[in-house]
Amino acid sequence: MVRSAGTQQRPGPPKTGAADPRAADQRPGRRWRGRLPILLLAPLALFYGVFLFGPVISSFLTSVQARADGSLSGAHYRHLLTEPFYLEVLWRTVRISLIVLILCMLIGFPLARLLVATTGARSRYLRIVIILPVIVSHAIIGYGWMVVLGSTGLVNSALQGTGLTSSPVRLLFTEAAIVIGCVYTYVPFMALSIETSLRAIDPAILRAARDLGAPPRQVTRRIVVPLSLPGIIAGSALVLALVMSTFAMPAFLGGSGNRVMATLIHQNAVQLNEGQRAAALAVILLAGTAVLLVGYQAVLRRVGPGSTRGAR
Amino acid sequence: MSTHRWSRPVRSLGRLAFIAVFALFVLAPVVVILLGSLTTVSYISFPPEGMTLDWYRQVLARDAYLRGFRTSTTVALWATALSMAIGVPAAAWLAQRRGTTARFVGDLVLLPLALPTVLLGLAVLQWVSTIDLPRGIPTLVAGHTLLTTPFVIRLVHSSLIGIDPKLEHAARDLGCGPVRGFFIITLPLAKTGLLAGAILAFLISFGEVTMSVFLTTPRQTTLPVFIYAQVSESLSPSVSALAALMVIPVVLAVIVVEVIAGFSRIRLGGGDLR
Repeated sequence: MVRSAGTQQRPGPPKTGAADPRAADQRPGRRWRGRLPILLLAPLALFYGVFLFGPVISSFLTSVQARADGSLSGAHYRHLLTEPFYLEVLWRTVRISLIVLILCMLIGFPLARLLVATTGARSRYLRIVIILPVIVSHAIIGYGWMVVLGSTGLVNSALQGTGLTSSPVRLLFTEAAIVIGCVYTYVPFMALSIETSLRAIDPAILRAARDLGAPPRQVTRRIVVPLSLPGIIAGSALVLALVMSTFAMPAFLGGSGNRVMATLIHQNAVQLNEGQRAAALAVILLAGTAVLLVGYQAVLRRVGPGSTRGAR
Repeated sequence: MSTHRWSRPVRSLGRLAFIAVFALFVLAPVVVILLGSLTTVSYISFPPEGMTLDWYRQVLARDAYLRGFRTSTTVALWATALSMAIGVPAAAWLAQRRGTTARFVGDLVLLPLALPTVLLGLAVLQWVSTIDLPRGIPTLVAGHTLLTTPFVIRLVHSSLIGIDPKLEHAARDLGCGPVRGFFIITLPLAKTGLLAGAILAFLISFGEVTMSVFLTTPRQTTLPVFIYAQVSESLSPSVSALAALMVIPVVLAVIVVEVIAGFSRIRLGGGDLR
């Protein structure tokens, strides 16, 4: 039987260090599988260097330039962090993010449980339905919801057709519309993230709880939720970050009266030709998102262990 | 699952109701676009009044729409090709290693997804004048590639680490060199990941809007940005027709790719690129 020295290099059981008759063959250069050249990363390094780090660093620098002469100045930040208009936009962005997060958790958790519980063809259909909002263009989603929520759209036609209202209800160009659009777009991320955690739960634990007489609701509250917390936290971080910087939903569904950071950045950069201010806004958005994520994780860490206190 | 026999049918009914409501929720915007594009009146309404394919005829005839389609397709093809060229070698390298460097590189790969897309769009917009890259299609390709490369790397990497190492060892034992081995053994075995990566990259680029609104020019606009522009100015059911034409292939592609590669299982959390 032929054994190749390359066996040790593949992902698998760690090297035990025991005597290996082929040890002499472990010299670099003798195995072709061991180390593919770092040259393979060159295209990635080059591309990211030129089109990721270059632009981002350059924008950071742009944001600290004074408008008049390009000298170093924090004037833009001072302006943006003190003017009520900008603070209102920032607060609106945070507010929407938190509301969407809560809704995504409420909808995403049952969805995740369903994903784990269903099998076969039904599971496939469910998966396709869940992944749809992720793949379809945000422009199409935004436009579609405009038609659903508009004054001559689906919801209003249904409301008026069944006689519940006599004149169109204003649903479009509101914060609620943005929230609906965002939940639509981002709940799959939450659901799939929680699903991963749920699948990692040992079914023996659930069976044991049931055998000991725990009713389903208690099993969920005391065991399933705490054990799926990693997935909930990861999904939450993802959703928060995505909603904070979302552009399409507010652009299509919010109108000019409900600006969020992303649409404001776009307006400043493209319509108002305020490149420096746009860059500063983008940095504030990044920093704000980071603060929100850190704060959220801190809160969860305090709440998380508490809910398992009774289960031990 | 429950200890109470009578609650089992109730549970399934509850489950079914939840799935039904959620499916309706997900399909609502798609359905209204499809049905609304058939209306005979010149404003957007639902339910549609009458049925006509006129709006589709308009879409397929008007210059602006065709130019948008051409731009979107060109950008998507280039972005896909570029991200595959960048991503496949990188994924191959990552599939070989497990150390801290590999972990670091794996996380770095995801950086474009971790940063706000508006920031990327703005940054690239402000940067291209510095490096003298023409606005429009070249810039769009660059921006889209930033967004598609992480997905390509993830999918190809998943595929590569799933390959049985014994196959590669057998090739080596039979005297096959490393490079040749990679091309005639490893890559064909990673077919699923490569195909899924390419399709996903194309779909992402074709539908991308957030970064694209920064990078388009009046002459070279992508379809999603075109829809956004139309929405602000002159809304007509022809936009619905355009959206319908865009969404149908995407839905079909989702079904196909989910069936062959199950990409809803991509985990975007850290710890997988190891």
